[in-house]
Amino acid sequence: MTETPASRLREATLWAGAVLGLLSLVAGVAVMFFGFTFLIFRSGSMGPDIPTGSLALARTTPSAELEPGDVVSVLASNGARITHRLVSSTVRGEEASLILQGDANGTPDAEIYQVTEAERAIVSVPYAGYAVTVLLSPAGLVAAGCLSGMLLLLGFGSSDRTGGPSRPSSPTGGAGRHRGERQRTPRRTLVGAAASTAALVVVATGVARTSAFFTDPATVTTGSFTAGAATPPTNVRCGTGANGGDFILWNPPSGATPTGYVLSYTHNQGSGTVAYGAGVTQGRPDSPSFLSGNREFAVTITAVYGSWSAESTGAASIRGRNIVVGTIWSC
Amino acid sequence: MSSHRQTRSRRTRSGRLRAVMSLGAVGFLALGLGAQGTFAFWTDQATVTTGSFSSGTLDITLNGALAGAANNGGTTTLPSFSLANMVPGESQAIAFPVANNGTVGLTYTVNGSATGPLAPGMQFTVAGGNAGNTGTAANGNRTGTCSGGNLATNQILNGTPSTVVGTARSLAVGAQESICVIARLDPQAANDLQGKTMTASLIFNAKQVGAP
Repeated sequence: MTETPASRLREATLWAGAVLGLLSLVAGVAVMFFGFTFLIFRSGSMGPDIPTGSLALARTTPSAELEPGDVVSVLASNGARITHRLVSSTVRGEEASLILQGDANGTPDAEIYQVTEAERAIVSVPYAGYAVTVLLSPAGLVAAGCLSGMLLLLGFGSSDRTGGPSRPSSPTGGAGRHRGERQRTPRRTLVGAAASTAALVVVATGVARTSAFFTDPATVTTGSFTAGAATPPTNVRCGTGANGGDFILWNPPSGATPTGYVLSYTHNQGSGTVAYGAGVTQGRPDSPSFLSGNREFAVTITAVYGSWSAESTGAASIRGRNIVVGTIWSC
Repeated sequence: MSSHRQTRSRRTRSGRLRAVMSLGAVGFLALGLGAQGTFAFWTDQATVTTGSFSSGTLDITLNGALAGAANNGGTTTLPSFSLANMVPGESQAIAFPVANNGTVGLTYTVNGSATGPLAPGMQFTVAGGNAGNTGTAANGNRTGTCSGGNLATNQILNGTPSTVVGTARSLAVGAQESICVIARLDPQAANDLQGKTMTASLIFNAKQVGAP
């Protein structure tokens, strides 16, 4: 006996078809009766263990049986199916709060998933998800249907490559049977293609696309911000102002610069407060009669720092001297 | 010849068996799974194609730092974003680029936390655009401003990270934007905050587009 390359190809194709068919059968039964789900990983934060495009087989598991380290698939509140590794779970009755984290992520997911059951991944195959996705696209389904039809032709058609209805003297094939096969073939092809397409569509119901989303929390820290201390002005005194004339003078505080000052005074004819801006170090209340009339001032200067204030310690006593009787008074 | 014919006959039969297996199995699936009546595939189909696979990396950088997987979750410091001898109402602004250095689109939100006894008196504003700083310590009127619109205004931070910018901002692959931050000592700061110090951290939580 001889095996031509063509017949070997036919054998291989038939075997491949049969094996795929049986695998589909097993997978279908698993999905149908035993709570299994196929997960296609659409993104890669479970890498390098489960790269993008992997196909994983998962089984629905009660939340109480999930253990840290399991790869768990849940639905997020935005409807996305997330498959990440379980960091910890808090079980309360039938419901559990799951904290998940992608292997490639530095931090757990922001969302805490409340579930009663979840799909636990059992095994994963890299790249198989790409193949399944292509297969389940409309074009892939049509192609698969056509391939199924061809398989039927191969299986039920004669392996004789040279025979044909126009050559009844074919030395190997029974012409009658052969012709009969050819006549029934179109209908069978149609049936095969339709059945296979429908089957693939239905198999697809057991396949879920899942994402293993990346996260990257980056932190920027500031330098240090230090509040100044409100310190009081010092050396409140009577003296000659920067441009001459008599003023109440004070020294600015040694620490942070105040945003302003408030001069409070009382004297034997009244009292009052006067506000000054930042950088001012002299004041003259009741100007121009300031020191006239033998007034004796009790003065405090308050440094103001926005909402803060610091008052000079003790009230300074300031009194004018009568230089010319009754008219000119000076410090 | 006779043995040859027999072989072919057997092969043909087994070929039929296998063909039936391949069809029968999927046919069985069609019948069996159809009973579940689930339509997940059809609802998914509109959005899911091979193009929706996103392999690659997610990588956000702040101020040009923290690139690469090794810096996932990393921290960078802005030493110049600091101010000494602040008086109530004084502020400082700084701007830095936030960039998507990865190969997938990202969105980010910003949380903030602070340490140090001055934290209750410091207010943080996050905006877009560039930073400008005016005023002098001598006049106690140092003021920072940002040219862009505010994303968060005068947030007070504490030891527990809290939301500063809760509305996610998106960055396409390779894109960057300028984020401007103002730190201000509350104009109504209490007297007991005098002389106190704090540092703040802003956490940019980057997620792949579509992540929960």
